[in-house]
Amino acid sequence: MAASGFRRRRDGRVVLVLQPDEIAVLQRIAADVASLVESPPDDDVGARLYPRAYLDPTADEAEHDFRELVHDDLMRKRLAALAAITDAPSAGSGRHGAVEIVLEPEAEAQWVAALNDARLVVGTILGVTEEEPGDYKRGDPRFEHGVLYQWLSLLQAELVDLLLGDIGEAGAGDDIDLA
Amino acid sequence: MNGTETEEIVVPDTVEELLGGEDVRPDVPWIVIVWNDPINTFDYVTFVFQKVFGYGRAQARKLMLQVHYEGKAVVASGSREKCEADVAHLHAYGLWATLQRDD
Repeated sequence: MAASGFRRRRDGRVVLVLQPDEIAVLQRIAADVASLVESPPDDDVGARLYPRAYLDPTADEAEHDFRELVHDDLMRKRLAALAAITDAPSAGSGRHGAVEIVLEPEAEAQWVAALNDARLVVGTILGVTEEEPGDYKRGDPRFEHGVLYQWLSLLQAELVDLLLGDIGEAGAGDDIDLA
Repeated sequence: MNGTETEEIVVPDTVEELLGGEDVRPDVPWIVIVWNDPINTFDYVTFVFQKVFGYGRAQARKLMLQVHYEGKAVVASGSREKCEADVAHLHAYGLWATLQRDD
């Protein structure tokens, strides 16, 4: 059985291999996160997805203007990034029924940002801290979501590792727009 | 940079040249701050700094570690408009970033 996760193909393309039940979970999460991105709740999750740009509480007018200017674009980019996950093939095409998703180069930044949004949402709901980063004991009511959070973290770490290799030490300075 | 060599001062030929390009003055009035949070990982934050600002790995890691150990770091500076764009860009990647006047 092919190991799940991101890897680099010989032609340089990034490939994600998952079992059908794993891609189903990932796509359901991405869809849930997309609905939160589209209609952010007035709570910690909403505040984490769309933090204030101006810390100063008296800067409400500047904050308002900032949101007017960027919110729609920010939401559109995030939804496009999450759609890269939800629109990915979910049928097993690889060996032993595994799902093999080949990332377009321009979709790499979308995948990594969308996985991060999923981690932000699940991590905020769990209330993860640096001392307790989602690794709860069996029997803890947070255990199941903690496992999910850690799995998302593992997937994202694999992709980040590949993308850091692409950028190299020097830093490219040519950010690919998330859209 | 505080090198030991004498820095050559380049005088711009035109006003356009003076106004154009990157604002590299150390005393620009707005700064972008990234705050520590328990969700974004070391490598991811390093990746985002390299990607968004074009920083080299060493500079990006240094800023990332500063965010982690000191709770925050100034990652960019410039005009208000540029800083707002930087903050929006960092928000798109899920980092907790704010801007403020540098005073």
